[in-house]
Amino acid sequence: MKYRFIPSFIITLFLFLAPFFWFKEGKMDLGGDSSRLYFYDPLHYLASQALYAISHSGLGGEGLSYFGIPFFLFLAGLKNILISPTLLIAFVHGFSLSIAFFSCYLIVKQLLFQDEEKKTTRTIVITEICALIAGLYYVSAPVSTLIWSHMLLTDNQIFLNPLIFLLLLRYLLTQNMRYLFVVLGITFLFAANFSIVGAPAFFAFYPLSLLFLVLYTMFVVRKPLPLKGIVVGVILFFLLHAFHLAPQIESLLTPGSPTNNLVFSQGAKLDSGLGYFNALVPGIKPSISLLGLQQMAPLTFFSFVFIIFPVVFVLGLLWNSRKSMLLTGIFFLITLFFVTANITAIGLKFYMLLFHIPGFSMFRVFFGQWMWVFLFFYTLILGQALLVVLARIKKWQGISLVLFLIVFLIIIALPFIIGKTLQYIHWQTKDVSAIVAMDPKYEEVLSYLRSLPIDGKILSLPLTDPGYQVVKGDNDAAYEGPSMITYLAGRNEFMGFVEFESFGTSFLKAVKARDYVAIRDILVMLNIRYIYYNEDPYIYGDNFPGQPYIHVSNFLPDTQAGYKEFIKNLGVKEIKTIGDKYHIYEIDDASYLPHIYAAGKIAYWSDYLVNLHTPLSFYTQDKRVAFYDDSKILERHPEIFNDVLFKAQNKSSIFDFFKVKKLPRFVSPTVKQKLSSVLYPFIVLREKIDLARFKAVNDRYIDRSVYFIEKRINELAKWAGEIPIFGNVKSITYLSNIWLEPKLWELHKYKEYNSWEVTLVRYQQSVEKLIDALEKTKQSNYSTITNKVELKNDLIKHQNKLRQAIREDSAKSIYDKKYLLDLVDGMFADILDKLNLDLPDDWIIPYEVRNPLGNGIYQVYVNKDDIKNLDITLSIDGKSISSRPLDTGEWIRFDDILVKNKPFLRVAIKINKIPNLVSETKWKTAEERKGELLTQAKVEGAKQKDTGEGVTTLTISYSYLGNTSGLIRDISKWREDSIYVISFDYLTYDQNFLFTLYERGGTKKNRYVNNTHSEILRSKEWKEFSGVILSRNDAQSAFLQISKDQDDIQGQNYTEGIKKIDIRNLSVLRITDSQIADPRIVFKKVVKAKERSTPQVIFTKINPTKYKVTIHGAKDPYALVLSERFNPKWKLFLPNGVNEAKTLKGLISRTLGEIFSSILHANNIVISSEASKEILTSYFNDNVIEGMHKNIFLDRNTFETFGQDPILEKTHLPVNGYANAWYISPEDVQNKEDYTLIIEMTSQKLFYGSLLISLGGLLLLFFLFLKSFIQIRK
Amino acid sequence: MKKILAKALTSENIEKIEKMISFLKENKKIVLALLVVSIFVDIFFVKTSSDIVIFSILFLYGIFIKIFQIKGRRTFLLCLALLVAMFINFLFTGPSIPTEKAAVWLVLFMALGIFQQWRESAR
Repeated sequence: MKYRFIPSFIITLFLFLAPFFWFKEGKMDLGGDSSRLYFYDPLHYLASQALYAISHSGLGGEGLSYFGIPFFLFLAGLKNILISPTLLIAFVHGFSLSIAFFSCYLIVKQLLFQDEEKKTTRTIVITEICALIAGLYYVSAPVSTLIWSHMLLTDNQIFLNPLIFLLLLRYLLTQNMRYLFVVLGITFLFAANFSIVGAPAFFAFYPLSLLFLVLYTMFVVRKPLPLKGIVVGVILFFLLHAFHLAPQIESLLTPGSPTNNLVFSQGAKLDSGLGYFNALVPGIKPSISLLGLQQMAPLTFFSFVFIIFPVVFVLGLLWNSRKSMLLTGIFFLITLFFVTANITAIGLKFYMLLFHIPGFSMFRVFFGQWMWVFLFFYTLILGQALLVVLARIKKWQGISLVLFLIVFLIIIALPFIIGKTLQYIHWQTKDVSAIVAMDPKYEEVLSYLRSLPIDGKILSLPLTDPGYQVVKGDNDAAYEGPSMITYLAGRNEFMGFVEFESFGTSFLKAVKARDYVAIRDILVMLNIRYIYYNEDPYIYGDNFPGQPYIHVSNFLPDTQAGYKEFIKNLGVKEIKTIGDKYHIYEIDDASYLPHIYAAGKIAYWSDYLVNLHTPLSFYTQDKRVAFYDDSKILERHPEIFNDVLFKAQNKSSIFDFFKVKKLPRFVSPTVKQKLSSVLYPFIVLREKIDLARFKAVNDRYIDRSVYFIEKRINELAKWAGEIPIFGNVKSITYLSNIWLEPKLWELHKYKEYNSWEVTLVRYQQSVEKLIDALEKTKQSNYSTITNKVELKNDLIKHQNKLRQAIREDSAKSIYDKKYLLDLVDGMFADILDKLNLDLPDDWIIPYEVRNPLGNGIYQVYVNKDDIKNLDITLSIDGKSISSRPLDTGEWIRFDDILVKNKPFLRVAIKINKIPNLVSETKWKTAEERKGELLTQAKVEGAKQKDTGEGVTTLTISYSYLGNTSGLIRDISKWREDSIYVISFDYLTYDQNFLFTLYERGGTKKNRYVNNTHSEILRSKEWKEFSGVILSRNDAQSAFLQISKDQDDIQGQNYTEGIKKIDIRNLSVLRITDSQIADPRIVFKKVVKAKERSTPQVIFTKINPTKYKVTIHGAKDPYALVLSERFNPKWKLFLPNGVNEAKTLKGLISRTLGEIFSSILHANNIVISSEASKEILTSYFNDNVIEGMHKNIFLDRNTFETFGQDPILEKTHLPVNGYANAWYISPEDVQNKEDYTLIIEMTSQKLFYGSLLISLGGLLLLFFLFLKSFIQIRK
Repeated sequence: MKKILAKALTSENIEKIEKMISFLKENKKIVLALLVVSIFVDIFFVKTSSDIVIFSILFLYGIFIKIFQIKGRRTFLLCLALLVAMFINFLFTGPSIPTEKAAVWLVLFMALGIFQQWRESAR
């Protein structure tokens, strides 16, 4: 049997070579969530993404991606040898595939041989076959081939899991430390799989597989555990991985950090963790996992054939006599539980409880996270069970089974083996391939962007939704994934709407309005210096009708020509064009704020800084302003502010009409017990007890109450025909006053108890009780109006449901139906009357200024744009003030006011005349509109007649056409995201009409006509309709429709001929232009502060985590602003020897820093990527000078701040809504006027320290590995 | 607990239990057939899934293992039958409720069978 290894070697070699035929030379499978750009340009990827604790995306901030360093260096080395990235990808794919197979093969073989007592030729052959089939299954199973399209960095687990398992198994069996050292070396090389990004994969596989190995060694093989070796291994592991684990653990343990929130916050654990899990779990099927199929994927016609695998397992277990297989079986079932979760209700409950463990929310996509460990044990049990089965059955049966399995595995893996699975088409595109050959011109773009001298951010256009970039390749394909400008050029970039974060909405709003002044202000404050624009029509337009432009296409130009116009209007200068389609523009010095600057003005802004243009519009000359929005700073240090700006808060309750409650609402209750059931009184009693348990009227109580209220409706609707009727009740309100619920022993009242009328009484009483509670509650997170609006929506739903139930009840006479309908209508009229949901006074918008309002004179401004075409009167504390005829840019200035000892100001804007938007339109028939509603046959009978006194009589002949007929009235000047009040009086002569408001909107690609609001109108006398509507955020126009609705009693009105409705006083008024941009009122305090000089700032980037700032002429206090996302880990150092840390830690780090600095100095070691051109750029008349940026990773100055205490930590605060600022007074810097500061991200300092530990660990590992060879020779 | 047990296990009660066990032993085939049938009725005819039913039957089966000295192999034979039930359901209805119920029964009996075999091999 000396040739028994040949088949496995042939398969391994085949699997290694297969990926070399997947892509033609130059083509690559780049893109997806992890971009895979590290295959294309590993060194630049390393420098941009892994070397520094900084994110280059959007606003910047801390980004810890050190884990990739060893792997990217390894790829860079390989690329030096292979030259082509296509070959590099093929090599890594081939390596992963072949090692995955070979490791599984060896594991199964090891487990099977270990069990075998007598090794005959037959058993050896069967063992080989079983191991081969198991290995083949692992790489060709449907769940295994799934991940190969755009593999993530952590998907190396496909071969790492079996490889490390194999080496550890060998180590435990042989106790040879070399296996352990090789494992440690592998974990270092593929550190990403052992880092925070690989945590789900790591925690799913290693705890279980290590436990398996321990149990296998102790109870199956019965060998002692090499505890000493294990301890050495664990220590070495932590030493090797210190370089990425130490900064990550520090971040994890820092309260408020993103990692800390991700693991420990209740929101992450339960909302995004358990909530997500609960949404997925119903779709996961244990049977699918048992068959080894993909969850949530369509079944194929041969899916049933996969039953062969569980059959082998069960037969294997049936005929089994090996303990090792039983152990594998236990682990197989454990992993099956984790991968499916749906094993009994108790099992599911237990799984849900696990989400309370910090960090367990990483398993929210559980079937994906546990898939690999499940596949692994599935493979092991397959190999072991197959051996048992083959040993038991006849030879010909065995051969047939083996051939069948091999052929079947080849068939299911064929699309993958030939590379078809990887020929990926981008989602929501017009067949745009993802297998891209990079455009050489685009490489020039990246190179040019790297060389740009100014350390400003880049705005990339066309903008996308998620920050994904689209670039056409040299072939007919495109790259779609994280931006190459960020990931390869290492520039801070805004590629997607989401990267604007809180500023995104105001940016898109400004873009939609083509408000170029506002757009430029936002770009200025976000430190955007360059605009990169790709004018290729391939990447914007027909090829990409959906992703990644879905949301932004509603705001930005929808054609490349439109984009060109947009950029032209922005007034930026083109500085480079590459390949006739890639353009780079620059924002001029005058309207650019450098990355670091000393603020000329310090201002307080009382609102959230999400629309940067609003406060900045008060500063038209010099934009070097630092805006603080924390009122505590104003309270404690009012002297630091040059300007104090208060934005009046709109207090109109009209906004409460549109607040959507975030609580997950109940599903409409099912009813099981009839009203006539003897159990029914107990149900009512239980509901009462249930509600009585609530100590306060909170949102849960409200939700529960409505749930029970809806039960009454559902009962009536379900058993409408069976429930008796008294037939003599005038109104439900009347009966409610005299009705007393029977006691349990009052059996004679049972018939009354079950009646329609009494159930309606019960309903009305419950609703009225809830309304009373809503009026009084202070425990709800929502206003009374919001709660009432939601209740009203429920009531309308209930009324319609009851009317439908009565209408469709064939057992009732017309008389009974009319009687019940009158009762129901009367009851709902009384309830709605009690609900008293009046619209606010739409002519007056109340505001309030409530902040630390100091005494003094305030200038009052109202935004011109917001009150355009409106006649308004502004009043403060009831007194009207008049406007001044001064030109103040975007603002109308009113008379100054004096504030003295007032905690707040009441402000109101009275709109003297709101235009009626239907005053110039008329009712039309549906066919006259030739409308979007539908194409309908000729409708003759729709007419309108003005009967005088403003009453319009509308008549509709054909009611059977439903919403396709009727009368339509256009509303002029309908706008998006605005609030409208629609009101009119109506008289329907006791017939049902349907009133509907339709909105039209969307993009050119996706137009819609949407029913925004509809309501049934029915009255015997004049009634008033009034509704408040929020238009959709992409609506462009709207119209009203009145149509005939189905009568409650069929056929009753058909004999009466034409259907008639009278309408008068129709008005549609726009109350506000939008929820956000309601008329803006700003109070600017007149501050008589001493004029301060602004010092000169000269700054240089050492690397993205370190800046050197030289200050000249700092006579007065000032704010030094760093336009990067605020993070307390940005520290300011004054390297003058005075601020040395007096702690032991400080002493050690200072000493080590000095040692390393002198070593680096002596050997003149500098590790640096390319530096920018040696050009000094100056702004504001040389008041800010920027230049000579470098990317020095390591040199003699790297450790200069080690052991130094940072300064001004207390005055390090966020400004401008995101940036860092230090308020520096002369006394903070030893009363010097000229000095040098260093701004540094301290995570990077921790990384340098931990990197030294890891390098030490690596040397130690190398030494121990060598020593193990020397010991053996001795 | 001991007191309660001592109270419950009076000679009279022990006698009753012994009688019951001997009755069960006499009707072993019928009892086991009833249990198996109840599982298949649950799979094919009951649309809802109840943990009370599942764990009651499992508990009963656990008792029968003790009383009837049922081997692990028998349990795996039952697993084979459950697998057939799952396959039939899967073939005709895909991953429907009966298929999933059969799968859950299969998993639980596999766990029980493995536990039995482990104990048997330890003896």
